[in-house]
Amino acid sequence: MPGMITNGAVRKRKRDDAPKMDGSKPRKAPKTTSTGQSTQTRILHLEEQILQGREHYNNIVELQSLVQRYETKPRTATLAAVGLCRVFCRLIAAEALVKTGSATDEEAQVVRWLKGRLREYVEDLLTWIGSPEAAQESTSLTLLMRIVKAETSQGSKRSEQAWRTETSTFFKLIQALLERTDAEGARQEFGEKYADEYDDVRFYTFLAVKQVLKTSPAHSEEIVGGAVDLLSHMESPPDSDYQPQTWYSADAPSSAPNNPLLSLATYRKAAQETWLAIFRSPLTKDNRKRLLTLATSQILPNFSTRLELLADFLTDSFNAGGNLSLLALNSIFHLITHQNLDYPEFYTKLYSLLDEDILHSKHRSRFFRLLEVFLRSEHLPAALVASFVKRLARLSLQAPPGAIVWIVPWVYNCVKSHPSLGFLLHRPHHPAHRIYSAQSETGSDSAPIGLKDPFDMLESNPNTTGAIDSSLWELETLQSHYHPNVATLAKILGEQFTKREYVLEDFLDHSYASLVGQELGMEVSGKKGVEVEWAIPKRIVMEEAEEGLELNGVGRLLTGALGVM
Amino acid sequence: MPPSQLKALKTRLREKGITAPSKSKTQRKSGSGHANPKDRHTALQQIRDDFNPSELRHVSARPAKFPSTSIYNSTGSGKYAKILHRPGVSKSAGEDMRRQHLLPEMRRRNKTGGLIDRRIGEGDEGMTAEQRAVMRFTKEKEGRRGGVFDLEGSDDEGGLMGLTHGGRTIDELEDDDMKGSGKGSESEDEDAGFLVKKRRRDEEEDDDVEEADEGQPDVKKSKKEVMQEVIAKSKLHKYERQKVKEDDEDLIDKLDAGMADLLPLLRSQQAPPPPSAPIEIQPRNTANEAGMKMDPERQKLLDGMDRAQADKDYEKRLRELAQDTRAKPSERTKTAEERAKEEAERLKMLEERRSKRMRGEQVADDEEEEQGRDVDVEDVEENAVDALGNEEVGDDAEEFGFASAGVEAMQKTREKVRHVDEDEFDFDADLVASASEAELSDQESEADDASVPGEIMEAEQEQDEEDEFVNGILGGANATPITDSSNTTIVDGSGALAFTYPCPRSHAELLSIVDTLPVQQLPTIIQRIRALYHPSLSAANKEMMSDFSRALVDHLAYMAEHNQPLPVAEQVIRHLHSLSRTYAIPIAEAFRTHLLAWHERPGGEPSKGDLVVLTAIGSIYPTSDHFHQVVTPATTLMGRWLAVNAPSPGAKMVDERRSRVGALMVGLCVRWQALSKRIVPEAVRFTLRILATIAVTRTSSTEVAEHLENLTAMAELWKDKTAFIEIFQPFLPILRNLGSTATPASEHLTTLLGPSRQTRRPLLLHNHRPQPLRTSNPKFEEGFNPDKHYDPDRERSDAAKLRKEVNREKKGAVRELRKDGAFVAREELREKRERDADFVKRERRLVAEIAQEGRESQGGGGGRARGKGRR
Repeated sequence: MPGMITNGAVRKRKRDDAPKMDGSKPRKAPKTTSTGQSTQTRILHLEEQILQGREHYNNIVELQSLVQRYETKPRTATLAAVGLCRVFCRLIAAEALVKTGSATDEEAQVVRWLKGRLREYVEDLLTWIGSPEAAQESTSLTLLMRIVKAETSQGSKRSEQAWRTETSTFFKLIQALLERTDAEGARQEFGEKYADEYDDVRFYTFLAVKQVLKTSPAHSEEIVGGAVDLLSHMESPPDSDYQPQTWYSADAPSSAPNNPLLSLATYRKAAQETWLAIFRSPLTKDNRKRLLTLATSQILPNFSTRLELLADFLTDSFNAGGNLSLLALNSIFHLITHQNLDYPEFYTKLYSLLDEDILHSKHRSRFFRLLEVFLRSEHLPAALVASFVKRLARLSLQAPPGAIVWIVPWVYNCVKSHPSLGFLLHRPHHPAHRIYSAQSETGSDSAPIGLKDPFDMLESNPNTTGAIDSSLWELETLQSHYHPNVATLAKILGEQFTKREYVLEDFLDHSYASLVGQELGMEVSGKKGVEVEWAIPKRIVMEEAEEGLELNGVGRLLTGALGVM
Repeated sequence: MPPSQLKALKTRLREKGITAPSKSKTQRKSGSGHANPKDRHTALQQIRDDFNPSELRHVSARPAKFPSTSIYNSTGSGKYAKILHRPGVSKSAGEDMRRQHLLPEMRRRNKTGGLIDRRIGEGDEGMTAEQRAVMRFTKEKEGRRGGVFDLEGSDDEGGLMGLTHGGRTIDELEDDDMKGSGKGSESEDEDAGFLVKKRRRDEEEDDDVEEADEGQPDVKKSKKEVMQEVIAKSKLHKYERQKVKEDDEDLIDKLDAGMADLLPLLRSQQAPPPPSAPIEIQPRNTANEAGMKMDPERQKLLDGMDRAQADKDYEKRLRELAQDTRAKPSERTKTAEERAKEEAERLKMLEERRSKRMRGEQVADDEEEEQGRDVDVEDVEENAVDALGNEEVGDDAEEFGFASAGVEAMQKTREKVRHVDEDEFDFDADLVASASEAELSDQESEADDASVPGEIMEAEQEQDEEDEFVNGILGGANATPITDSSNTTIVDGSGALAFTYPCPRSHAELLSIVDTLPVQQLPTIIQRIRALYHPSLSAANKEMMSDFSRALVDHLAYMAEHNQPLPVAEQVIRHLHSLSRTYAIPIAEAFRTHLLAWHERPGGEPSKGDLVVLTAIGSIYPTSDHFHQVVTPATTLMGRWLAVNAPSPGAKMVDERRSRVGALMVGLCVRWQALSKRIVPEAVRFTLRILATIAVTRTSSTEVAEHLENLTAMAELWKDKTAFIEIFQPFLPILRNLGSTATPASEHLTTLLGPSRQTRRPLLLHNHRPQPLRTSNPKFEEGFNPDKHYDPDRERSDAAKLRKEVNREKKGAVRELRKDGAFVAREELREKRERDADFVKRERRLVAEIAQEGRESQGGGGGRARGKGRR
């Protein structure tokens, strides 16, 4: 009998999820108190009675009242809920909740009443979702999914209804999952245990999420956040050889060719529409960030037809600036390379991303990695690449060593692939060079006024910044960087370019932490010893003044700093 | 109709002047004609060749090859000159040769025993009987020349009269036997075919040649004679040596005789010489017939002492002498001028070393190691070049000292990392030894380094300075240690201090001593402890002091945490500095521990102690070094703090703590780079941001002054940098916003920017010599010859040459064998024919004889027989 098996399964599942409730199980509850035992037996008794016949249906009400008193008696409530779940599953399996055509008025009334109870029961359970107690949340989720299973296992037509209609348990569950902001645990559990495992659950989840977004009265940001959260917990979408195999509902869909569950196209369509629904709804910055991080792995593969809508979303994010741009960059790149997206003014936009903060951002290495890809092509105009080079060089004057360490070999590679950039490093005097002609305009040769840097930092179009006529004084200055390794690295620009190219990946993930860790990780070498300043200064923080001693510059700074610590 | 050959020959001969029309006597006398027979011969040969064109095989007999394939068909030179082949001539020569050697052998085949005629010229068909006779005669004469009664001649070599066997002397025969037995060729000889015999034949010929060679040089001396000569010579030499030695001894004796007069003079100044080198009067060596005196050591050596032992003794004594303090001349007192000069030189040298370190070069004593590392780097680069850029095995970043990425892993598994780092120096075998050397006390190391004059001076200087810190106590109990006015108070109070303390070996121990006493006393206490446990007093003190220095570093941070007065901290720093001379490594490690603690503190905020530690580092260590074990991490940590704590552009208020700490850090950065003028981007950024924030929020305070001061210092420091404009231009609008307080700084910046703009020129970084193209095999050859091998690998080309030679020889041998076979067959056929012809002849003769006999017997009854026959 399916009901029995179901119960066993529920128990097992529950044991896994809420081990602390094991003790309350009737079968292995040797230590429970007498009162506890009595309620347990009572619940079991009630449950059995219900199953015996229609006359005991009122017990349901009693059990429900127990369920509702979770705050005071959690254990009893849980037991009652489990019992009720069993009851309803059996009733559904016995088709007690179905109004048959030949039913009498009385019967119809009973069915209606039962349906009402079920609805109430589900509502009660839904209130548990999002509660701070993980065990309670998990129990309710499990029980609800049992009900869903029972509902969706009664013939193809009614199952379909149970999946899709807004009054169904499944839909309500999804709605609750999305609406409760603090139901992260439940969402994660749902994603991992059900959506990832069962193909039909995943499919209908997409549908339900879309519907919730559509029907929810206020397009509240919480719901969207919940939706993003829920969908992010689902595993990445299937690829072309999509073969749905695992079904949650007991009656697996027939292998009829027109079954929507079996075709990849329908699946994709569902997912795509859901995502689009999310894009259309108002998004907070955090949600946007989450979406963008998901974009390449979760969202993009689902989009096969209406790419422009996705592109719009990405473009919006890209234009938003800051970290959002960085995150959107990856997906846009994916679209450009894989889906042949035409992105006008891409390099201008990319160029505008290079500001002071990017070198200090925590997404620095991610950005650098992409930047290298974008600018690797040898077919790009040299002036454009020169603008990027010059701008990064300018920014590196205030950059941390970790960024400089990447910029220098990157510039090396750029010069290698665009030989005309060599002038940035070596520009012998020639009147044809703009930098010299500009000089001769401003002053005569006899009294040189000095060279004006042709590079315009404020120009936003990378093609017209004039960087190609400039010189990389900044990187030359960095050859005397305080960190010995950085300084040595910067010197490669002044040496012969014998190496074909540097593997930039090796330079990406350096930070202060790695530099300091590396230096302090080394032991003081015994052979070389430690150099010590040979002269011992008479005064360090003090200096002699007319009367006694006074603090000198360092001393003043030091006392100032110590004073505020 | 072709002209007659005879006529043509005649004309040709006449043309060449070989046959001339008969000339008159005078003409014959005056005209030289063909004086040179060689010319004549060549002329004749030419004519012969012309008339027998088929005798010559021209190179053009085969179709011409392209010059790219072979150079032979064109008229080459030298080795590749055109060669005229005469197949007919070489064929007949080969035939002759075979007839000469092969034929007799063939005839002797399958025959055992018999007599081999080894007389000169026997079997040589090229010799006439007369020639043979002449040869034999001369040989005989030659052998006799010594004469039978010649005493010089040795016993065993009586000309040709020695015992011979098979035409060879017994000696040679013995050799042969040895050879034979060695190879075990006795049995082989029998069944081995023709070739083996041929080989033997060759050997025999060789022997003949040897014999001829032996006969050539004039009479040899006998072995005995030679030995006697050698003995005589050596005796003569020995005698001469002894003679010289005797003379020397006489001279020494004479000197020794005068020694008695000298000794009193020497004794007045010196202790008697060590007993290990006694001047003993040796007993006369009776064995020495010359009766001369001998050095005892030498005598011992002669008596059979171990040579190695003697060497060791010698070395030992030499070392003793060298290390004898008296061996050194005492130093004279230097004049003031000399001292000043030395001091100046010392300073100059120190400065040189410093700037070398600043440039990242290795100072002199580390050069060897540096070379080792250089090689390593080159290796790495070589790898990179070999693989053409993309396929290097190593990490690009690692070349520049950036360990590969795993940052967290690096921190977490520092132990492992250490191990890896040590691996780098694994090749340095003497690392361990040198490490222990460094642990030696300063005195010892000074003695070791004494060869470098600068080091001595430095050591002296150190000694002087150490006196300043220590001597106060060592000299007199309560003398003023430092004659600074500030310290008078300290000394005044020191009456309450104890004079001896247990040496504190941890910070806790130090605290237990110091805590109860007033802070001002601390320098005095340190001074006393340093004096009490001066390493020169006891060997154990060294370790104690090194622990004490660690504790002192901890205490420095502790003092800052507890807001103890800075002047005292300053004194502690100076003590640490002076201690660093001796205990550099422990103190550096202690500082690094503090830095590490700061680095690992969540948030990366420095404590008060860290700030003082930073100040101390800046004072104790040379901050201008390219890399320094303490300074570099400290700067990086400051950079990190500045980068993290720079206020964001939109900040609405200035955190005072941030501002003050930042000001200190920027100030320290600037001061540390005072000499090396390295750029610190984070300091620029921090100052820029903080000034901008101040300008926006209008929080005018003393901090602005600090930051402006820092800004001016930075500008002054980096005014020569090419990117000066780029660095400092952004400050100008901010300074304008700041108002009147910033006017001086703004003006200063503007004045500095002007010249910087004027002097700036586009970069010229690549004034390198153009790189030569990589040359690789095959390189271009002038006059390339396709037949020659231009393999640069000598071994391979040699092997190829050898292989080719073997091949050619093999082919030649096969051809020869085939020709031999043909010859043998031909000869056999000829013999058979001869035999057959002989047989037929004999048979005929016999038949004829018989017939005749028959006829004769029928002489009487001839008719009867005939009649019978007819019947």
